Amino acid sequence: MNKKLFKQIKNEWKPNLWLFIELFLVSVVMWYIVDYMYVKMTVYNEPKGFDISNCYLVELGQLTDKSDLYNPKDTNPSIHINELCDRLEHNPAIEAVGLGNNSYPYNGSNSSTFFKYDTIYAEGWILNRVITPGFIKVFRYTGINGETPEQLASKFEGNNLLVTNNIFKDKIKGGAKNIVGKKVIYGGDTVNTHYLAGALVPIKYSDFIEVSLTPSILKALAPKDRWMGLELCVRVRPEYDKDFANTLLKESQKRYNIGNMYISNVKSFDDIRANHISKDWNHFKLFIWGMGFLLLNIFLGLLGTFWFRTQQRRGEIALMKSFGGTNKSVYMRLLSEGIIILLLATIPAIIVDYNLAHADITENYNGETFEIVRFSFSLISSCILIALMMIIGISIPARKAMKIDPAVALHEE
Amino acid sequence: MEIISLKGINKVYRTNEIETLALENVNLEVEKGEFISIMGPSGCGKSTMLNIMGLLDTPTSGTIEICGNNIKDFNDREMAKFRNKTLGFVFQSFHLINSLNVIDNVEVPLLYRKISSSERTKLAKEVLDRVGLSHRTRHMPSQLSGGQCQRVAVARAIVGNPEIILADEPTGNLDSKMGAEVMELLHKLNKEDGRTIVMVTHNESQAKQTDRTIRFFDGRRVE
Amino acid sequence: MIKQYFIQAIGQLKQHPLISSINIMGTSLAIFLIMLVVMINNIGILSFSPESNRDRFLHGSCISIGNKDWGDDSMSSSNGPMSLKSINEIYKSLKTPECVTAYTIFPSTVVASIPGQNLVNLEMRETDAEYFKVFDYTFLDGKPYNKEEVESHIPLAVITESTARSIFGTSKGVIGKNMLINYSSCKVVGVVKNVSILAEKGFSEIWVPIGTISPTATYHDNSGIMGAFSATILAKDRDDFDDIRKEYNKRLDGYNKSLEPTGFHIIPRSRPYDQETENQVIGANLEPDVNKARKIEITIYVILLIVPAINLASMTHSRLRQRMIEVGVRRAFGSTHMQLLNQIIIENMIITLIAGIIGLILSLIFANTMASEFFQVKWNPSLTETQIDFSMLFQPKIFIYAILFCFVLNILSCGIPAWRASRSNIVNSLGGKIM
Repeated sequence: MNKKLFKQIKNEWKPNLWLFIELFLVSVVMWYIVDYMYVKMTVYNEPKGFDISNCYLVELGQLTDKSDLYNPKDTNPSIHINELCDRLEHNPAIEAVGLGNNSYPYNGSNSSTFFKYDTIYAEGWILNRVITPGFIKVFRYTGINGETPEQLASKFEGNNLLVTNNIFKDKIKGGAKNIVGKKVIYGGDTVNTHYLAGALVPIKYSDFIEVSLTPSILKALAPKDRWMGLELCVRVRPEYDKDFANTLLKESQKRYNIGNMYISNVKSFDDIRANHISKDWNHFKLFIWGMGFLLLNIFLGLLGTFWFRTQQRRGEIALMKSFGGTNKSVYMRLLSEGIIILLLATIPAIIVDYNLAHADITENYNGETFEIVRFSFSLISSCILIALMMIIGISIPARKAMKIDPAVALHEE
Repeated sequence: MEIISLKGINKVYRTNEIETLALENVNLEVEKGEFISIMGPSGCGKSTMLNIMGLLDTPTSGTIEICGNNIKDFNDREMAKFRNKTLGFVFQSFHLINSLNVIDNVEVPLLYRKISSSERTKLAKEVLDRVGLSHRTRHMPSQLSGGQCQRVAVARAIVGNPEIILADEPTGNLDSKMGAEVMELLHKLNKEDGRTIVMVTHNESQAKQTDRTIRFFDGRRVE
Repeated sequence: MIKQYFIQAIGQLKQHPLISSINIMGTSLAIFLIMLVVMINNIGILSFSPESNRDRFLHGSCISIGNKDWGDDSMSSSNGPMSLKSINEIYKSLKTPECVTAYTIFPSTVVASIPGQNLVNLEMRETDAEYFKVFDYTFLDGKPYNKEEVESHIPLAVITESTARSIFGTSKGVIGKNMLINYSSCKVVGVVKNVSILAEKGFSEIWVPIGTISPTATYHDNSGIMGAFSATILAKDRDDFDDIRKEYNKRLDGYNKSLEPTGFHIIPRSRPYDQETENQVIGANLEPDVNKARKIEITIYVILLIVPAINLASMTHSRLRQRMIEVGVRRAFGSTHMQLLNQIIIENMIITLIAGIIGLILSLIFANTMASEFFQVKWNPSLTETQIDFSMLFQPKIFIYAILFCFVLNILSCGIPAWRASRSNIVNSLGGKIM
């Protein structure tokens, strides 16, 4: 039986060659797409280390002399920032208020710095987040040992730093939590002595960027450095989070515009996130479209090829049935042909995939483009997806073949 | 005057293992206006002979002269042009194009000439009239009987006004009545138009009606 | 002849309804996706109002500077929008172009209202008067502010239809009325048709003269080189690009000389960029790589063409196998190899074109109804929804692409089977022997 199957595949090698080439090509592209999606989804599902739900960014502006409300005496409206924070904290809808410089999540502007403990350098791109204690409560950063944002905020002052636990990568076993309380070197600051006040659950930069790539330092913002150019972020109590942005803007004229400083915009962090990840997200969606397209093509290709095939083999199928073949055996026979060609096409595909994975063309994860688990996962998943399409594509003509009445078909022959 | 002259024709079919001699040193001459029949058992090489005469197949060796042209020097285009102008084919199983209606089928040979479409239709209608099918021009081949199909095929063979008609068992798929009709048609074309006809047949009585019968056995001409 | 091709192409379709539908579906699917990718890739290059002159644009949206104290330029540089001073020195002083404009690089979110009404957040761009010569807005009412008005900082505003509606409740008769923008009173002088966010330089909801109601014009950094503004050059003709670049480089040399005492110098990064290059800009600190982008684009097209082409080729092959007798007959009656090859390719082309039209229409409908799904600009902090209207896509370039891809797909999908069929031995064909 199996011998005959192979013989038949060989006999019809010309149409099978088309199928083989197609399956080979699609296998490679599908593997690439699944691999890409696997990495992106893995990264996407990493714990974020912060929480933006019910959070808003309050943007400020400064009146010019063209405005009737302009107060010529108020030459430095920046000083009103403390007053504004104070007023916002008294708003019953608001749970926490924080100020930061290039610090909020999904931020396009960044500052970086360097960090050292004893002789151990933190390598790579170290994000420098200069913030007020309230900022920790707004985005709910948490300690690696389970410290709450409130506990962290209470320790966060002066030259006490918080760092993400992964800042030293593998250089300190267990991470930065093992040197909490120790003296550390921060940036180029040789004047002040800094201490590590706590280690944080690693904070992601953006949904599609690996958490390990962006270790961060939280540094307390000195009261003298507060001004209106900073990022003003608030967390709203969930029960009040209905049309908050518009309500705050509406109230701003009466309650929050101080001197020449006014609130120009209140933006939800859901929107900020959506804008920030839109490019990656769109890219991801296009890959899904591409995958759907390829799978549909496999489906159509098999449907077409096997439609002709069952037509040509009417007599043979009828003969098989008249010798006691069941519908199931006719179906399995056709399906096995498809699956064998797929398996044959997968062999060269694996070789190409393997080389592509080593050619630095695929996505980088954990500093690697090839990893055996990931490679096998992508390979098997793409193979299964193609096989599924194959089953659907072959089922339609196979169903037709099963309906063949042996007597009629043999008579026609 | 001889219109077809074949000299020393050999045809060898080669597959990986076997070499088959289909024709062995065949000489054949056909006079202009002659109606000859070729007979012989299956596989004797008579169809191969006809195909070589019709430039559908090439001999392994030997020379072919048709209407004074030595075919050896022809390239694909000249060959196609020659088939189009000089030769008309009638096949055992009609070989009409299923997706075209009767008149479009008849027009096929004219498509490869520079003729306007109205002229084509005119010529096609004329020949369909001659074969007695002017009332069926818009029918599809599947709507016709076998005899009608073969008459359409004959119309297609003569629409380009070729000097030679090559018919490969033209009545092989027809019952005797329809077969007789087609034979009558071929004789008319031979007598009235003076066309040269070479016909392969299995039918002894049909062969007797022709001017001359040539017999083949095992790739050789036997008398 | 062509008539017969048509008859046969349609006949073929009718003969195998399922295979024909698969064939047409496969082809339309391929053209659909390819055209969608073409549109996605080209929306940043195709011309449409208010950026109808994209083929004549040269952009200087940012400037890059280094400093002798910062070390090597490749290690340390500052990159971003320019001050008005820089724009005046190196862009506005150019003589070759038709026009040069300066405008804030991104629109900023403002609070707008009429006194006593609720505040509305809208996007505002500050521009010079030339802006409205370089970008062609459709004025429904009024006109843009002029050079004198800009120079004397008169608070005027050009607004879109939808801005007029959200502020005044109507888009008619609002010329001359005042509105508050960031609490400053501005007089509306023009109402324009809404602008799609896909016009990156032209998008906004309010336009005001530079430096009138916000302190942007005075933001300076790095010895007054950096600021908040971008420049766009409108050339008289694309052929002038080289001359403009030559003149630009001369200006740049002059500007660099004047900057010597400050320690700063401009890093050219091959600016100004034409629209295609500008479209590839990732960051102001990186010179865009158009060739790489083209290579990626071509790779995608090749994959999107080859996979369905193999499918279709396999089907063409099967279909031709069933037509071998016809192939033999036609050859016997005088068709040459070439004529037969042509016939098969043209017949297939008819089917491909029918499917191509379906695919193209589908892609246009998708692009239009799911615009925000497919078309995104690089930076859209206001999360303005992407709008596409057909006039943006009904362009010769799109149709040329569609026809080109149909043609290529056709050749790929039937070239080899057709070639083999036309070359097959006549006797074998007539005997119904397969290729």
